[in-house]
Amino acid sequence: MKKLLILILAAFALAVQAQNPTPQQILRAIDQNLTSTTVKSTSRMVINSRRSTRTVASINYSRGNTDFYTEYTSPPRDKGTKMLKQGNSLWIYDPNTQRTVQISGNMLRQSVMGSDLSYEDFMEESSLLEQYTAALEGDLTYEGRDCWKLLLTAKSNRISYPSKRIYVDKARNVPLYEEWFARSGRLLKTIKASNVTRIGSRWYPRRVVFKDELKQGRGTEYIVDSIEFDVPIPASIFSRTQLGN
Amino acid sequence: MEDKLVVISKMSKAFPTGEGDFLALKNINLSFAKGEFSGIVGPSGSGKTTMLNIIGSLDSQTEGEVKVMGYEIKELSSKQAADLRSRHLGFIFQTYNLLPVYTVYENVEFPLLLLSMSKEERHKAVMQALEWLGLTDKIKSRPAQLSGGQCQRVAIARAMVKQPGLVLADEPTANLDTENSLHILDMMKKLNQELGTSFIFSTHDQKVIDYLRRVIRLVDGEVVSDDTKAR
Amino acid sequence: MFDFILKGIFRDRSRFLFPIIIISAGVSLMVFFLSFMDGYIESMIRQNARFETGHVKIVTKAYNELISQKPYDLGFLDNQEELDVWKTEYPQFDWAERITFGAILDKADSLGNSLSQGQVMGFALDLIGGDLEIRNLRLKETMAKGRLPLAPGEILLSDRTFEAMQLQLGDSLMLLGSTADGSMAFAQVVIIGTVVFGYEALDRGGIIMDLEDARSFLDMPGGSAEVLGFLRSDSYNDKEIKKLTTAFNDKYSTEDEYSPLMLSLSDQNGLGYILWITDFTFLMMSLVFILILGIVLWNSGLMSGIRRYGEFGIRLAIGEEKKHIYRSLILESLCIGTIGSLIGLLLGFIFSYPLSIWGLDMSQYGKTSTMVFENVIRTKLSIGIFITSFIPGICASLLGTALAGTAIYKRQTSQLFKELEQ
Repeated sequence: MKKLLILILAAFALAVQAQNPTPQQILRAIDQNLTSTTVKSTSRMVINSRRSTRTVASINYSRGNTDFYTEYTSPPRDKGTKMLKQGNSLWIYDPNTQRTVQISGNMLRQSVMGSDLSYEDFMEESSLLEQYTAALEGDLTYEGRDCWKLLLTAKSNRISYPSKRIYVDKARNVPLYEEWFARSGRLLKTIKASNVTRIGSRWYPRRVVFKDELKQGRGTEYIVDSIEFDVPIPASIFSRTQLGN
Repeated sequence: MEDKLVVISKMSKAFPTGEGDFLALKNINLSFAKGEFSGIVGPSGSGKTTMLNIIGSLDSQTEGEVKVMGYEIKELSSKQAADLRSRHLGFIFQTYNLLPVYTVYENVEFPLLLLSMSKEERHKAVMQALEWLGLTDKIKSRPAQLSGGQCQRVAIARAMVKQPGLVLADEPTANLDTENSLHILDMMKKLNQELGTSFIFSTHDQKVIDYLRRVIRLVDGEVVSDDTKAR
Repeated sequence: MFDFILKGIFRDRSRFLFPIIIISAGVSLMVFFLSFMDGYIESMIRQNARFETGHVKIVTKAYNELISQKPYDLGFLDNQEELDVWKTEYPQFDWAERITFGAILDKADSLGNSLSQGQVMGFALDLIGGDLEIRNLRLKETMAKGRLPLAPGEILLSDRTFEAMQLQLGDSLMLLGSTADGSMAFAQVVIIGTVVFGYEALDRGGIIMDLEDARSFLDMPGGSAEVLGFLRSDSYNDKEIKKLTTAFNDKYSTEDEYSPLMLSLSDQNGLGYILWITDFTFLMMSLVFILILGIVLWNSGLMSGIRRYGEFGIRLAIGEEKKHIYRSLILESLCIGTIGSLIGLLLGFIFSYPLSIWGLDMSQYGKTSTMVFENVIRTKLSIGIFITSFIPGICASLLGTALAGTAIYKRQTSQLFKELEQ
């Protein structure tokens, strides 16, 4: 009788384990859902500063996790400004002075276009699995969706945010809410994703609100107007010569 | 009894010492009448100066009564004692004790500043006192410019300027030569006779003793004799 | 009696000479130190006013909330009409608009690649329209190399940064920052001269730029972060200025967070605290002065008291009360204190006056000219300084005598009288 009971309990535990993916499996699933070999998108950034609200539109290209190119299309003052990221380097091109400036060091912590995002945030490698180890803190319902609650800890101290807490939509593998922390444990940024829509085989959030918790203001809204995955992008897009053209 | 300036009865004075009280004056009974020219005579340590201090309200007795001009010394507050000294008593010292920074005139004028007198009244009184003592030609001199005899004359003028009822003179001739001593004594006697001021000396100088009309001998704090010469 | 005391003092050299020398020396030193300190503080405040605070400063209410961060994005935008009204309303001030901003200075090679970069703190002020700001920041005195900007796009750079970035005069560099509304801001600038700020944070990377250049760089047409008012008379009276700022704020400050707010010099940079500390230090110095001099005079009073026991004895015998003698001693010390203090004031004036005219040139002691401190420190003589020095002189004299005089009370009257016989 006793043996039977142990057998039943063991079988039950195995069943639970089969139902619950490991935290690493959840991260892999997110990476698979959100990254691809190439991405082309058009987006708008609605920046709610203390004094005004402005919208900055751009066309964006990315290749893998390392290369990223953005060209601003409006407003007029910012039109033609380009930003290129290659590996760990970031360049900005100003059409008025026709000069390219490399952004490095402390400047990377500055806000991009007055938004709640820093250059460093743009520089982040997008693969969570490569950067963080995860621990499952449980599950919860967020905005009506069943979510995993994970605590991520950076694998290397070169990563900008040493820890993050994320709520991941169980069914769609999309993080819906994130908290990014400093080494001291202070909350630096919160990210809320919404308008999760199906694009091909993926689920993708079309609207993300970034809030710098150290700044006054109502946060920055990032709206993806169009997005295409795995489209052919000429290599020249990610070269520095492209910036001056 | 009204003629008595000073009445001392059963008066004793003790000073505390390391080995108990030292009795400086023992059961003194004395009185001094107005116009007396008397002296307390005795060797050093006999209690002469202590007696003079008590009569001068600079100290007070331990026991008994001491009445000066009707005031009981022991009962006087410091203000009342000062008042008694400033109005009714004059002091003459062995070492003159003139104020060196002031002139003869100012030294003599000083006691009058404590009595509310006008400048004119003071001037009159000072000049009169200086005349008595034959010092009118020295009014602008400072004590350092005077001889010992002249200094003591200034001290007498200072004691006499307010015309006190009683002058207490403590060894007034001790620092003077014979000629000056006699001169000073003559002057005091003259003032005693002309103004009726009483003098009580404390002395062991024979020259002074010869001038006194009444001699009270003190030995170890006790009165051993009290003799009055016939006039 | 008073005549009598006065005669006593002046005929007895030992009675007055030492105390008068001590008091007059103390008072003259006090005049000198206080006037020097006052001059120094005033110079510091004056320079602080010119460098940073103005005698008054007008900012937006929103800017004021974060004023230590100098958030130019919360500054005035296109407010020239308002400024013209203030100029007419407050003609006692010279007005100057400024913007402080952070940016990156980038030096590129011939291919446009970044060779070196430096983070800089920009000071934008009117360099081309007049010389008020050139005088305020002592630019002519503090320039190390080159010349002042004359044309748009020309800037001055901290000498240290200039050397660190291995630049040449005439180099064209890129300035990268963000506009008031957060867009990326780029400007091509030419380094035309270098300066020594004398302020670590700025020597690490300060640039000086013409206001119009900064307006275009930061996209703030007709705007500014701060409007500084400098009194034409240069004599700052905190109470008057406080009245003025209150009146201004009552009139112009509204619920709108971008409405103007006028600050006085003492409202800013902890200058109110410095002013308070200065007053407190003066008070402390006076008290220490009274105490030290009081102790010295107490001692000399005791010495002279011992010498004068004979006098006190005879005075008691003649019929003066101890209280009366004590009072007369106090009166003597008051006379000595007054005379000593008056002499001290005169001597102090003689020492300090030349320095108030010609000043002390600190640069001759190897100090480099800086924007934050003036080279020449002048003493500042005022009625206040004379009073602050005079009163302690008298108090010290009174204190010394009051303490020394108590010895009279400790002696028995008969004791004093006995001493006469010795």
